[in-house]
Amino acid sequence: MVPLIVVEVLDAQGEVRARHRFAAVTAETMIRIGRAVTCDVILDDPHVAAEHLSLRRDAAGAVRVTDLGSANGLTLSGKRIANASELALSGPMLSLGRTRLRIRTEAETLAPELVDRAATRPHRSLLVAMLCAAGMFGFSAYDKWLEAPTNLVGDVASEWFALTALITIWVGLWALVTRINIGAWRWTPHIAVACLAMLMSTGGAWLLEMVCYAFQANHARAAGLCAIFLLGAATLYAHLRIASRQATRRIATVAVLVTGAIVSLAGWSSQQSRERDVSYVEEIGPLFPPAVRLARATPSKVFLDELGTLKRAADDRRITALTQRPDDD
Amino acid sequence: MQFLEVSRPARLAAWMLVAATLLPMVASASAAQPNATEAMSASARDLLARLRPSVVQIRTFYGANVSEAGHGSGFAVAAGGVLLTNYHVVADAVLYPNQYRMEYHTTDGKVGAISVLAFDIRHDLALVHAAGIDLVPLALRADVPPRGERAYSLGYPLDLGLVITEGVVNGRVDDAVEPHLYYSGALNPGVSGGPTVDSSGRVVGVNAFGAGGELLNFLVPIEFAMPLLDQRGHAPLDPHQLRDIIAQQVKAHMSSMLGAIPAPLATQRVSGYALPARLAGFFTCNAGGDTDMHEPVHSQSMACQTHAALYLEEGLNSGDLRFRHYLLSTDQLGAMRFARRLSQAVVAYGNRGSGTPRHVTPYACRRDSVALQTFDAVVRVCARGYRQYPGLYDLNVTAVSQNRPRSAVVTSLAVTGVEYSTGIEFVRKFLGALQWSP
Repeated sequence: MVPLIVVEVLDAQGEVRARHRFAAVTAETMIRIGRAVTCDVILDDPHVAAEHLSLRRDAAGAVRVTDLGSANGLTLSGKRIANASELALSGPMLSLGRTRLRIRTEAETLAPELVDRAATRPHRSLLVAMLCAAGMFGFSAYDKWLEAPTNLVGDVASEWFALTALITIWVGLWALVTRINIGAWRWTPHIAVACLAMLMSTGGAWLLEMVCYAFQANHARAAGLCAIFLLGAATLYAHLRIASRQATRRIATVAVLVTGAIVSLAGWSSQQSRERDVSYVEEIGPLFPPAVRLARATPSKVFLDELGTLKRAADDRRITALTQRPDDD
Repeated sequence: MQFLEVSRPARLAAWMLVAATLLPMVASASAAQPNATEAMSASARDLLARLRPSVVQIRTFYGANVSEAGHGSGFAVAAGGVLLTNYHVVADAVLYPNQYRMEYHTTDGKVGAISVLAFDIRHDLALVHAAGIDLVPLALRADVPPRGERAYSLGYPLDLGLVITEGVVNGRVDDAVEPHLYYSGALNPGVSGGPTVDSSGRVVGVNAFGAGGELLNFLVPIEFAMPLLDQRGHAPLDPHQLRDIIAQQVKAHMSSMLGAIPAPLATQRVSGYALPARLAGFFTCNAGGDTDMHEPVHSQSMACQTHAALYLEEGLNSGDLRFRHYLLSTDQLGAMRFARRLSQAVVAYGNRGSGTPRHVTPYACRRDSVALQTFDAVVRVCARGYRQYPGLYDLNVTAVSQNRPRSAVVTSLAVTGVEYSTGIEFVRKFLGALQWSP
């Protein structure tokens, strides 16, 4: 195979902006990269020297890089190197100035071709979106029915109208972001994610509450906050995956950090307002039919005997209140 | 309960009310039989002339203001300027001596400072010392006047100076945590702390409060002043112990209230449940229910309360017990839908306590599914302390029965101003009295 070097200039998103192909290179072929017109690859980056560096294939086929006397040097796998001379590249990525390059040769191994699921099952994403939407509308109707209102049809209709409006705005904004970011709207996957998230936050929450009731879980509040976080992070991750071409790990990090920040801030502020509210009593929580209960009830004596700890808790809250706002006199 | 001391904003409205009702009364009085009116007024006139040197006005001032913050009345009960009045007349000055000061004003124009010697918030009484005067003490009557005996109440309503009104004592109300005399006579804002005397001028009670009806007013029986008189030492109260003393008195009030409830607790059977009902004579209970037959869930309720809350200070009444049962049932809805309605009802009936962060601290709660004697229930017990009254707690209990798929009882109990262990002991009895026997 003819030895070659391909230099790809990448943009900030990692997309290829320009590709330079040098075929039939020998050990003597030098490829110069810099701002000057004398270079083989011309970069418009002001942080790049006129003649910044050169590349060549050695006898073994490795790409070697030599700094041509630049002030900024070059960066290999995150490490800045000054005055490199005949340095063998370990991977394809190379940065100089503020430009990222990908150096490829005929010896590279490529990832296998992706199977185009969309082509084999063209309506799959539409089907998923419709299922999610049906689940969401279905649960909302069931939830209204549970309340036994006097005008069930009217209430369900207005609930559905509100849901539709919410989903439209939500999906519309994400589609717009997607259009700006990658040039396509991608309506259906966003609809699927939005409807699934809504279904989980209503029907999923209801199921979780029922499980908590069944097992008499008294830490349902913490579990609820945890579930909100997981759902929020997963939803944000899914939307970002659809709306950008960033690396999976980066998207996951963003989703976890953003959701974590929002959920903990909201949890903290509601906790704060409750701690100051002298008439707030913890909710009893949603109730379900007694038949759902699986755990045995606490014996009355045990419950009453444990109320001694309640006095300590009340005293602690009193001390906290007195510390936060001491009396003047 | 309406106190009868005057506070400024109330005064204008009260004047307008007086102006509106006064004229017709004057007109009808002139049409009444002249002889009877004269006979009655003669004794009132004599009493007023005889007692007026012993009854003073007690004014409270905020800071250096010369306009008063409020006023009440007081009267001499012992030599050396020892006066009796209501606790609620002097409460501001007792608790906030840096903000409030007090003055007495006699009918002959003498003015001087007042200091508090002792108080009894259970009976809303305070013994005070008026500096610089030695008024003639009024005689105190030892026995309770029989029902229907004529009595005369003296005090300083609004800005009208010392007045006397005639009424009738309708006996001692013992169906109350703290007994009082029912006085069918006019008591108006400003007469709080003034004396009500019999026709020979002996004090039978201290003007205390109105219950909101016409001539539905109450006096503190004068017998409760005796222990206060015994403990007068002319030494001013230690300001650092005031709130401890008040807390002790509230605790004593609650202990005597809870102690007066007979065991086992009186219950009433409703739809298969036995529920605590009128636990003692001093409870008033009301019951009712919905009448809308189209409503899928039927509800009825029973509420009992004591009206025994004591006045501690502005915005803080404490020392009370009340409870309420809601019974919900359905013959139209399934278990799942009934449970949803029940959840909503629990939120709606939620027994959120009153109170401000100035006086009380946030609740701490315990919540669990509890096997009561005959049925399972979700029980939540919450407790909170008072900022300035150590050892006093409010308890708030809610129990929701979880034994029937299509009917349930939601019970809430609120006990305020109680010692923790005393309160929890009552909660134990209360939950023990909840029974299911179809």
